[in-house]
Amino acid sequence: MYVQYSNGGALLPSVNATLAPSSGKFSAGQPLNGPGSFTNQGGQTVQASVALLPAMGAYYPLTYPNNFLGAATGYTHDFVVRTLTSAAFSGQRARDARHQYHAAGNDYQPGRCQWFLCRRWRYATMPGTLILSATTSGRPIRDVMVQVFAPTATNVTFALSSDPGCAMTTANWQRQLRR
Amino acid sequence: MFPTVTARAATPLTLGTALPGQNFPAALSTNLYSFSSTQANQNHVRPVQ
Repeated sequence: MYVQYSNGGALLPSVNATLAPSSGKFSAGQPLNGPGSFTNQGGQTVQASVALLPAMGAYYPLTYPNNFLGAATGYTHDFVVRTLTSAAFSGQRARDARHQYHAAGNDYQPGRCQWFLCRRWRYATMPGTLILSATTSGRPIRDVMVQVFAPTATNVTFALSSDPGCAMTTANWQRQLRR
Repeated sequence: MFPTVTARAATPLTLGTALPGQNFPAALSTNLYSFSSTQANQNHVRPVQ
């Protein structure tokens, strides 16, 4: 799913949200925070987040401003949810790095939602890397949105890089969202 | 002091249709919505070995 907050009022900071599954229990759900503004492909300045919906059925998003304030004016915004059928990455572990996974170029296709599940990623003790690549003959990659969901982790550091060696980390959330 | 909980109805969302004019009219206010996904996205899970 893709959640977008747009036409934000002058006082509205980032919009945070949390998503509950059909049980209505937010403790069993996922965060849907909009960490920074960016320009979408429609030219709008928006905030957005993504999530994978694991099961068919009802979901309950709950939104709030990240400063927990509000006012009669200045905190207005538009809200839209879109869902797309997604497909799994066929991730393959590289021989030279135990926690490095490659998503084959033909699997990563612009305009689609795709997800990657690794039950053996030992993020508590060793950093992991997921490498996305695309063929140069296809559409150029831009506006990549990524969500990392690690239910049992207490702290996850997440960074995106775009150079071939995966060494140059993007500077901020806004640029991360637009990769 | 435990927080006070008040039941309220969720605002239904139509997928793909923007809901304009949402607001947070007061401090600590939140907005509750609901929608339904038409299919599961995690069918055929293949854990990476």
